[in-house]
Amino acid sequence: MEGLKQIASALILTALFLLNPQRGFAFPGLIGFGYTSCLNCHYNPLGNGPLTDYGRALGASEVSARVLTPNASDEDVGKNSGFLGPFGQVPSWLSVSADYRGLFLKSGLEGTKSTQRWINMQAEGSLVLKFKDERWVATGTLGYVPPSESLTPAQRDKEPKLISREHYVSYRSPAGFGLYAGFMDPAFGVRVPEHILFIRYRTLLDINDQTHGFLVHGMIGGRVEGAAHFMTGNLLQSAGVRQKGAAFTAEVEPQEKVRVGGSFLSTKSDYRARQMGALHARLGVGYGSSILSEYGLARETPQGGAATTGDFALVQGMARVFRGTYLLMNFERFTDNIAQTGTRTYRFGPALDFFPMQRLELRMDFQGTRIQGGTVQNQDVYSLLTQVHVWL
Amino acid sequence: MILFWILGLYSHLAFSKETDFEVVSLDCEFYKLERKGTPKLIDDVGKMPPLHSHILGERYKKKKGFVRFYKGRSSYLIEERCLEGPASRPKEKAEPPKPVSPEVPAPEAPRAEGKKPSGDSKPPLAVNKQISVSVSLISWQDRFSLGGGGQTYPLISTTLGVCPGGGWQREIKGNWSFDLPGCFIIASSDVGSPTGKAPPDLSYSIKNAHVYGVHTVPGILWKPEEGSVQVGLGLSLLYRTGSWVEPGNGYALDTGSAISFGPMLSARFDLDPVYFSPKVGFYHSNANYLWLLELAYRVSMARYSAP
Repeated sequence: MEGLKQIASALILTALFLLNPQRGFAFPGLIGFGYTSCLNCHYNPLGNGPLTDYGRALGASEVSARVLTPNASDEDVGKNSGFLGPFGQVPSWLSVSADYRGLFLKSGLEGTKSTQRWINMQAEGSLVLKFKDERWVATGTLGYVPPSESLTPAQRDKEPKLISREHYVSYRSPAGFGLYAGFMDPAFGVRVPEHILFIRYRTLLDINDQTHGFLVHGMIGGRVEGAAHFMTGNLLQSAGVRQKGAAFTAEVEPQEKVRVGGSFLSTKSDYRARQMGALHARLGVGYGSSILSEYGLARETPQGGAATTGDFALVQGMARVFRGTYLLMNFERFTDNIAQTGTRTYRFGPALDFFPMQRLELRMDFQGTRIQGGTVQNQDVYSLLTQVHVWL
Repeated sequence: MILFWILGLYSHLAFSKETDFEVVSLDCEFYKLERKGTPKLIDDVGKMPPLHSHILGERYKKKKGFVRFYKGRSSYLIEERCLEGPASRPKEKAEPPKPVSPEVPAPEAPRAEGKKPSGDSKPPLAVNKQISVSVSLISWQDRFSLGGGGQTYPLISTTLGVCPGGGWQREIKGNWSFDLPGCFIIASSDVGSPTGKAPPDLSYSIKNAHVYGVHTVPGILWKPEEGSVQVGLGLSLLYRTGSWVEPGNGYALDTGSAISFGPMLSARFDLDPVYFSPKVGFYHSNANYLWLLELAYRVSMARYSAP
């Protein structure tokens, strides 16, 4: 029985990688609009971080609705998508942006005593300097980190509240490759914006898990894209905990709006060694809709301890219902140890993502978390996440 | 731009099993018919007509020589001279498509023809039927209870399994379809007490108990204007039975109702001929939710003209 389920799981995930759609669509989901490479819209070639001017205009004209300006043309919307909006343009060698994402979390909906709180998930500003036709770029992002509520007031005062989320310099060659040196996210997997998904926070690729290092990114003929990232760990941390190593990721585009790829990461510190491998697929469906899927294994070896291998998976369907309105269906799986009959965590839930206008995103997620296995059976845990995302 | 357009459309049609015409000219113009106003020239490859567009069988009155083709609510125009194949031939030369399933009636008239049907002031209504086979991952929780010694103790059963089956879909009107998927559940469940709620003199825990059942979700699917996705609502019906072991020791197991029902939300992503459909439903009777990941292969599709 267990084997049958594993086979069926593998078949469905594999089929999502291999099926041969006639049409495709994709944030990584922008592939659904035909934009397959993150490099089109982000200074970071693997996504995340500040948007390019083109990315801003694209978001304004393709992704967002026009609730307040229903008659605006694509050109007008794109022209006003800059930091100063309709009030002007910053110099062409400069790009400035600011992001805030707040979350109202209501959890424990399954019981009689639910809890709720507001979380300032993201509050950051970015500065990008561009030279020589944007071949040379210097990027920096400073973010606010709210101290944990579990700390005492004295401990909270000692915690750093501002951290760097990115700072690097880069050079892009006309030949199609780029060199990046500095502090960036590790080059691994599909870089979805939802940092609480298992494929991000369970793999230690979360919002504050950047590393210093050197990254080489290249594109071959527009259909093959890859990066190698040589990492020295976070130099702002003490030497013993820095995860040093390398990561590789690559994607191929067998047909329009279809990308399949894989990633590998190996790092080591004084306390643990970590290897991860993952396969992923991004499929564009129709116009503006997409399916993202990723399945990976993570092997963790604590210093002096035995290695354990867990797995992680995501299947995310994003359906464009109207301009600026998306229905998402997320399925996630995570296990700490696939070799033993331990617990397996599943999370499933729909979400409604609404971009009423450029610079504003409203999103509501329902998440049901189910744990199978183990000696105790507990009821599913339900959460409602309502967030607002504002950017300049 | 037009060249890319043509090549893109040709590429799509070349892969399509539903193709009943092909584009033979590279300098055609394509228009989208809006509800109001004049047809809008399409010059963006991203806004090209969706797959399985098929000739509706009428010329467009206001543009001489243009043929209307169609999917769902969206209608498009293409110059007749650019087409070759059954769609562009006169009615008597076109071979009627064969019925692909016993459940699908034979078409009353060829779908694809270059002329408007005579004596009919209204365009024929395109009716679309699909039959598919599928396999799903399915999971839900049940609330059981242990009764003994005048007390009742809650148990939770968490079930995960596969669900092979199929589905039938019929277009109702425009972008609305009726959908009837169903599958047979082969699953296993883990049963145990929630934390701190176990009986004092009994530890009841089952791993991988066999569970069998059927699941169906009759419902309505709605297709947005653009794209190959559908979103829908249905009534999820679940019947299950399992080989759960009686606890003994003076306790009796109550597995609750074998039938559960509740609303279910679904999305469908068409990757022709395959579609992927995640679904999530809520059962009031068990105060929990059921999720399902369906991967289906469309084995037949038929269109015919309804009066």
